[in-house]
Amino acid sequence: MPDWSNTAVPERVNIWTLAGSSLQNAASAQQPLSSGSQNNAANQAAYLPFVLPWRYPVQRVMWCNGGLTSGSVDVGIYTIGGGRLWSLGGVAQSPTNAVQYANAGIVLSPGRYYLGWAQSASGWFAGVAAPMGRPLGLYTQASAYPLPAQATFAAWGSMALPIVAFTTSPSGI
Amino acid sequence: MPDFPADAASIGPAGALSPWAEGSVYNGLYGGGWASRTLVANLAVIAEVFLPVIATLRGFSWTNGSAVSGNVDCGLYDAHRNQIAHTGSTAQAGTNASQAVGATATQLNPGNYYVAVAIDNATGTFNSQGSNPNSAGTFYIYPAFGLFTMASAFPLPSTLTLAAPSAAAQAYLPMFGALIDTSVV
Repeated sequence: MPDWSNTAVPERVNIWTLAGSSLQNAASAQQPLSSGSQNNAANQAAYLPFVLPWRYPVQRVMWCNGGLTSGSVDVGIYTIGGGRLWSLGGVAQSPTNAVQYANAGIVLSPGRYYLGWAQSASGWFAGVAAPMGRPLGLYTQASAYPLPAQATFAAWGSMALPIVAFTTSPSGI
Repeated sequence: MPDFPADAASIGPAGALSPWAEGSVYNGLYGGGWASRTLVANLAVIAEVFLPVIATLRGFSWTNGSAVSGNVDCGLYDAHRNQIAHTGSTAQAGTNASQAVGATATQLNPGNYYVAVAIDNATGTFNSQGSNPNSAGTFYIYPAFGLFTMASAFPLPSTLTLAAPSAAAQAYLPMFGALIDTSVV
């Protein structure tokens, strides 16, 4: 058995800033954060790769709504092969211009994953336009709300990248 | 061979617990480059940081800008936002230079921490990144990156209450951190 402690993990991890994730450099290079809000087509899923170096209990997911909310948001976590491990199932996007939290309740082992994001309508979120997504391993899927049990990865187009983070905290900011 | 990654996030920081040392700062929150900037008087700038290894707290440091004035307080808090140590009110001294204050050696176990800095006036400057020029109306997103503020927080309080910045000047991020030693525990 390895002689190391693996009990401590960051309370909050943002997939834009996780070391080893391609989004880390891509999002950081997008200087500055886009003015105003972004949105994508209704029912269009985005699959964003990230790397977890720890065993991580995801108590909640969070994202940043923009100035106009609409419909519902679904967030999911997928294996690198596209199998859905967990998804929110969809919650109404609310309120505007705020971080929105939703309970998750999944423990992830160290490894590589895709975060799935889809909306039933074209509500706005804080983020960046991400035309550079294809060479970074981002994928998309049409008609994917709610998020499917098996992702069918399609080439990334000119979509926008939402800010999504996890936390081990069950409540609070 | 153990099947676990040995990347920077597992190995942890060396030298300082600081948002800038973690590689966790999203540069797109900022703009205008490094410059001498004032902070809001008595407003604590707070960053959530993660320490994956045992370390020893040695002190605190920040980088002053081209004007110094009044007093600075820099501190470290545990995962429950309770204060572990702080410099106390310290005269800001030395323009365009880093300033350091020692702390009683304290063992820090792996876990989540908060580093905070506050100044008691709006004249003294820090070497800071300015807020995103497109940030009007988007300050609420800073907590998603582990960045917070607390008003009326000079000297730094015994317990932090976290809030999102609500104006551009509140969203500046100076160069500061808690100095740690991970070589001897």
